[in-house]
Amino acid sequence: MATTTTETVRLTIDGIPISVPKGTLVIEAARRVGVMVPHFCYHPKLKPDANCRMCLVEVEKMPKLQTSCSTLATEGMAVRTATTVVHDAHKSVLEFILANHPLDCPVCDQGGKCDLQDFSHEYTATSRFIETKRIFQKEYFSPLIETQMNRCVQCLRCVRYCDEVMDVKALAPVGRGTMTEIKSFGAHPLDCEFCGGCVQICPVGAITSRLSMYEYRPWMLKRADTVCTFCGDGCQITVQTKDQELIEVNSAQGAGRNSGDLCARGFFGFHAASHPSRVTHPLIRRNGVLVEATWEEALEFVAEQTNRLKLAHGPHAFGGLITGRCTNEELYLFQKFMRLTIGTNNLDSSARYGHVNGVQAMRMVQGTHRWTVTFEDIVQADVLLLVGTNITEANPITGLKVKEAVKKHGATLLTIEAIQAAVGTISNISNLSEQHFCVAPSQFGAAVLGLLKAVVESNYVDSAISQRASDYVLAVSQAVQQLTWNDLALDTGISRESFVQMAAALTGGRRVVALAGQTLLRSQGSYGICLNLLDLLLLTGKLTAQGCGFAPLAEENNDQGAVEMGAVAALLPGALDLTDQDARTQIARVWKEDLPLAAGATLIEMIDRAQAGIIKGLFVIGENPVGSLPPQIGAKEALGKLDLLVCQELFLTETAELAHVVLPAASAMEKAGTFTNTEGHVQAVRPAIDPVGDSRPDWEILSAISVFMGAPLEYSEAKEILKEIRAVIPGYGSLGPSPIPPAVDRVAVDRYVNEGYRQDLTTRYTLPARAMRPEGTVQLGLVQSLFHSGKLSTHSKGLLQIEPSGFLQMNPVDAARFGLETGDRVRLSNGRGEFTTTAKVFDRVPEGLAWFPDHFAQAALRLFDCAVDPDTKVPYCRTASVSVMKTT
Amino acid sequence: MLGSGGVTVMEEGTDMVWAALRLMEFFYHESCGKCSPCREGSSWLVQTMRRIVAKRGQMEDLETLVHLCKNIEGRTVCAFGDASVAPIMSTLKHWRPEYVALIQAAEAANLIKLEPAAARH
Ligand code: SF4
Ligand code: SF4
Ligand code: SF4
Ligand code: SF4
Ligand code: FES
Repeated sequence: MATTTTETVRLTIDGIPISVPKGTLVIEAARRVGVMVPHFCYHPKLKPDANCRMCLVEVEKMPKLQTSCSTLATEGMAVRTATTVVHDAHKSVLEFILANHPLDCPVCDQGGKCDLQDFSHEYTATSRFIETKRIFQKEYFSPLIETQMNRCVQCLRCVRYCDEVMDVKALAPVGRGTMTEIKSFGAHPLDCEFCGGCVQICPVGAITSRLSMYEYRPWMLKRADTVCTFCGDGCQITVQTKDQELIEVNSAQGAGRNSGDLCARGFFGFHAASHPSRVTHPLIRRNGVLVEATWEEALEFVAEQTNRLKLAHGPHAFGGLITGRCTNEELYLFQKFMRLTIGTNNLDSSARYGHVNGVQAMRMVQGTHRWTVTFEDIVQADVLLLVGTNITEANPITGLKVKEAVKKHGATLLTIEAIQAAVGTISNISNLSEQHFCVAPSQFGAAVLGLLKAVVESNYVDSAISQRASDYVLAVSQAVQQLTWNDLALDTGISRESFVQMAAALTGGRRVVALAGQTLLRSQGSYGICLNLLDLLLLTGKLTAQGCGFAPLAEENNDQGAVEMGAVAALLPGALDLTDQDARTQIARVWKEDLPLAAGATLIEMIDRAQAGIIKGLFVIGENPVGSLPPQIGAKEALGKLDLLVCQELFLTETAELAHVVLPAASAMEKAGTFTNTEGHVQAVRPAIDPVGDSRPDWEILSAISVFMGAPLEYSEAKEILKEIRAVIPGYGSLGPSPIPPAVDRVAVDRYVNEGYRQDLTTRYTLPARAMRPEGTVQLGLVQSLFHSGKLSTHSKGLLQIEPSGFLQMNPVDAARFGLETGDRVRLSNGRGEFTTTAKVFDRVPEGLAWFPDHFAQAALRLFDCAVDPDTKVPYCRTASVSVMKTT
Repeated sequence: MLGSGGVTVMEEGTDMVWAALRLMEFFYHESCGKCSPCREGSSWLVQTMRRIVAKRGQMEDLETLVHLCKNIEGRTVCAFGDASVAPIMSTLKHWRPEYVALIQAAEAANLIKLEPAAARH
C-alpha cells in the first residue's frame, strides 16, 4: 500500500547540510544539493542493484567506501564525495569498466550523450590495460533494436527496466563474468513490447535504435518538446531532427505525465509524418479526377461552393467532422467555423466513436466532463478496477501507472476484460490481477451488474448514501434483486462467490479508481454500463472520497480536447449543453454573434442526412468515415452524393478519394497548439519540422476558408486562438506540470440521486441479450494493437516492421476445432460477406472469440453490424458473428 | 595467505607465481561477474599473470598488479572480491624475486614488450 511518509532525516553532503525524506538514497540526497555522484547502474526508476561500484562515497564512521546508490540517508550521516580516496576509487572503477570497452566512440550512436564518455572525460581516465579485450560476435537482435555487446558495462539497467517497470521480462543476462551479454529471453530474436525503454535507459551505446543508426551525432540535432499523437495518455516526447528530417524520438527521464517512459508507438512510430504518400499540394476534382491546384484556387473553389450552397439550401445543409488528433485550437476553430461561419451545429469528432460515452456518464452522475483523479491517484490507489481494457496495449502509459501501483505499492488489481491470463511477450494486464473476470464485451454489462448485486446483497452499501438518497438506493436494490445469480452466471461464467469477493475487495479499498477502456467504451450499451460503474462507486462510497474516481480512457490523443472544445454536436466549448443559456450568452459575447440553436446531427446522422440529400456539403478534417465504418452504414454512397466534400488530410484516405477538394494538412510534428490528455491535462504541442510540402495547419486552413468566404475568422498564430478559448472557458489549460482535477459536483450528484437516475435505471439494470453462438462460428472483435494507433500508424515504417499486417487471433481450443494453425489461411463469412486472412493461434484470446486488429480491418469491415446508442449516438460496430473455414 | 582461509600444502620448490596464477584462475572462473571491480579485475589479473608466467611480462606489470588488487579490495559487492586478490598480494610480498626473475627472463629473451598474450576467456 502507498505510504507517504513525511518523516525526514538530516545529513551533510560534503559539509552541506540537507534534510530529506526518510528512505532517500544518499545519491539522491547528493543530487539535491547539486552534487552529482558518477553512476551507471543506479536509475531513479529502478531498485538499487549496486553492481557497477561507480558511485562509491565516504561515509563517516563506516570502515569501507559505500555505494551511494544503495545506502539510505540516515540522521546525522556525514557523506564525502570529493576526497582523494573517493576520487581514486571512482577512477579505478572507471579503469575496470573501460578495461574491456572497445572505445569505438567514432561509430557509436551514443557518442556525445554517453555516461561512460562523460565520466571518462571527467576523470581523465587513462588505462593501463594492455591485455586482450573481450569480443562478442555480432548477433541479430531485433528489427528495431540493435545491441553492441562489446560496449555493455553490465549495469543491467535494461534488464531491470524491462522487468521492474515494463513487467515484460524480455531481456536477460546470459553467460558469466566478463563474457556476460544481454540477450532476449529465449532462443529467438527479441519479441517484446518495443517500448524503447532499454534503449533510453542504457547508459552507453550497447542498446540503440536501428531507426536512427549511424544517422547523426547528437550535437547536430535540433530538439522540440511536444506531445505524442498516438493515444490519449499524452506522453511528452522530444523529437530530434536534422535538416527537417525526423531522426529520433525520446523522452527525458521524469518528463511529462509519462515521466519519460514511452510505448512503441511513441518511441518508434514517429515516421508516420514523413511518409512519402503525404498529400503535399491542394487537389481539386476536375473532370472526375483530383488534380493539383494552388492554395488560392482551392480556397476560392471551396469558398464559392460553400457560399453558393449556403445561399441555396441554408446552413443546415452542411456538416463537419474532425479528428481528435487535432489541437484544441483547431478543434475550437472548427466548431466556431461550423457554428458561426456556416451556422449549424451539425458537427462531430472522433470522440463520438466511444469517448463521449464515458464523458456523458460523468456529466450525468458527477457533473464533470473530466476525471476527478490523476495518474498520481492511479499510482497511489490501493484498489484498481479495470473494465474493458487491456490497458497495456490501448493506453500503455496509463498502464504503466497501473503496473507501478501493483508492482511497487502492492495495490489490488481487479479486471474485467475479454482476455485470458497467459504468459506472453507482450504484457497482459490480467497477469497482474488479483481477480480477473474474463468475459466477452457483450457481457461487460452483466459483469458490472453482478458486482452491483453483490454490493447490495452483501450490505456493502455506504451508510452515508443510504441516508442521503434512500430512494435511489432502494431503486438500485430492487433492480438488482430482479436479476438472478443463475442468469448472471450463465451470461458471464462467474459465480456469486466471485462477484462477492470482487465487490468486497472494491468496498474494502481506501483509494479506489475505476478505469474504463476502449473495449467497453466502444461496445454496445457502454453509456449505461458507465453509469452503472458510477453507481457502483457511489453506492460503495468511492465516488467522492479522496483519491477515488472514475476514469474513462481516451483513445485518440485529443478526444478529451474535442469534447472540451465543443467539437461534438450537442456540446459547446467547456463541454456545456448546447441549450445552456449562460454558456450561449458568454460565447456570443466573445464571438459577437449568436450561435445556432437547432440541435446538430452527429456522425451517423450526418451520413444519413447526406444520403437523404439534406446535407449537401461536408467538411472533413482528418476523419475517414468511409474507411472506418462498416459499408452497410453507406458512408461511401452518402458522401458520393454530396455537392461539396472538402477534406483536410495528411493522406489520400478512402474518404479523401471521394472529395471535391483535398487540402493538405500539417501533422502534429509540424504545428503548435495544445492537446488535452485523458486525465484532462492541457499540454503544449510544438513544431519539430516545417510543414511538409505546401501543407498547412488545420486551423490556418479553416481560417483561410473563412477569409475567402468573406466572413473572416482571423488569427495570426495558434496562441491567439488559445487566448480566445480562455475567454470562452475561463482558465482553460493551466499548462502546469500536472493537472488539477475537478472535484465531484455535489449538486450534480444530488440531482442524479434524486431525479436523474430514474429515466433509464430499469433499462440499464436489465441483462444484455445472451449471446447465442451457432456451431462453427466465433464472435469476431476489432481490437487495438499495442503497435498501432488508428490508421495513422500504418504509415510508420518502424511500427510496420513490428506489425506489418493484421492476423486473425484465435484461442488454441477454437483453432483446433477449426483445424487451424498459425500461418494458415482462414475465411470468415456471414450473411454480410466474407473476408480471408491469416490465422494466428494466441492463448490470450478467450474461447469463442477471435480478434482482428482494427488498424488493418478495412476489408473485414463488411462483416460488421452497426448499432447506434440511443442516448449518446455512438456507433457500435466492433463485433460480428462469423463462420470460420480453413482455406488455402 | 593465498586464498579463502583453507590450508594448502605445496612441495618445496613450487613455482609460486604459477601457483598464484592457478589460484587467480580459480577466482576468475568463480567470480559471479555482478560487480565491475571483481568481474573486470579478475579477468585483467589473470591475463597479466599468464603473461608473466609465459615469460612475457614487464617490470611495470608488478606495480599494476598491486594497484589492481588494491582497487578491487573493499570495493566489491561481496567478500569474494577481497579474497580473490590475496594470492597475488601475498606472493608478491613473499616471493617477489620469483616474479622479477620471470620478467628478467622475458626481457633477456628480448620479447616485444607490449605484445598482448592470446588470452583464453
Ligand atoms: S558506449 Fe560511450 S564510450 Fe563506449 S563507444 Fe559508445 S560513446 Fe564511446
Ligand atoms: S546493455 Fe546497457 S543497460 Fe544493459 S547491461 Fe549493458 S550497459 Fe547496462
Ligand atoms: S523495448 Fe522490449 S526489451 Fe526493451 S525494455 Fe521495452 S519491452 Fe523490454
Ligand atoms: S501512444 Fe500513448 S502511451 Fe504511447 S507514447 Fe504515445 S501517448 Fe504515450
Ligand atoms: S551506481 Fe551505485 S553501484 Fe552502480
